[in-house]
Amino acid sequence: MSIPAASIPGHSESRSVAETDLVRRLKAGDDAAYEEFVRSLTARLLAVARRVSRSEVDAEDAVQDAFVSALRSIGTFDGRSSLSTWMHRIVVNAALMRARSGKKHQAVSIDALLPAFEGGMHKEHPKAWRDSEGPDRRMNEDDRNMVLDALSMLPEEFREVIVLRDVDGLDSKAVAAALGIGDALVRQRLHRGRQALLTIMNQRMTEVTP
Amino acid sequence: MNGSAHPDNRPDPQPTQSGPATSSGKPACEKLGLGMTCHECVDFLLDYVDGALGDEQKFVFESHLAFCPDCTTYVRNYRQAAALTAGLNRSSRPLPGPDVPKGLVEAILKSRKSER
Ligand SMILES: [Zn+2]
Repeated sequence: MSIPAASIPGHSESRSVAETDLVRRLKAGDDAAYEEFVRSLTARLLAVARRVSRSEVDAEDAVQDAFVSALRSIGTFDGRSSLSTWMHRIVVNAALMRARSGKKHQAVSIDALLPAFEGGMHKEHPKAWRDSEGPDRRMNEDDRNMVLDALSMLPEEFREVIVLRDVDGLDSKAVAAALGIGDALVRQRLHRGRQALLTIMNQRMTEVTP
Repeated sequence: MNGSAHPDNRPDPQPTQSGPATSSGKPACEKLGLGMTCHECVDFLLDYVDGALGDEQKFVFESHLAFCPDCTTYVRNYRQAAALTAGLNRSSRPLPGPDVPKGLVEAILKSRKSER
């Protein structure tokens, strides 16, 4: 994983006076503040959205969705994370909502997606997965969409840990700082989230292709 | 992780039982001498792939894998699931022209006005 932590918005910045002031003005509905907010974050959020979108159009729409929903919920922003970290989470959610395939699926409870054991042993024998990497080490479009679909089915608290750690490439400590939760909880959610993704992707990864 | 000696000096090991765990005994796979159950193996998996297990734990973990095709497959799939997710990053298309396309910021600013 090669994305430097510094490319992820806000996880290590301290809340600046300027940001506190910007949030206050946003909450008050100040037009100039909104413009400053949009201009300062659009490029970073678009880069984030592109990673988890099916197309460029979807990525741009997701950024737009994110600002609209941020404005609606700015009143609940409590400053525990930085504004840009908060927006990072909103735009990932917005992009994954758009990435969902036609069928409407709701997030399932995580317990239903964890492997089952009986007498300490696997209840079902895990099946080997097919290869998923092309010769140029890139995923094909179908696999990419499968992953986006699977991510969109995870409960949010697991998804955000997976995105920060596995997609953005932060280490557990940086993820903990970005989300304002403990390191142990990050690792627990990461582990369960990956197991759940494994379960969701299992069918597609074990299908026999003609 | 148990060492070699039983603290209570019970005669080691009991005649092998067939079938899954009984209510009193250890799970069947542990009786087979694998040192940990599949369930425990999966619980330790994140630490294992992160290289965070101590030497002894790692030895027990890998000994389990050596005898357990189920866990071997599960570990492989788990790594692949994480790699596929990480691959979202690598596979993103080349950026189309300028970083932020012309008009996006304006469109966002405008969409707010129509919100009200
Ligand atoms: Zn096993």
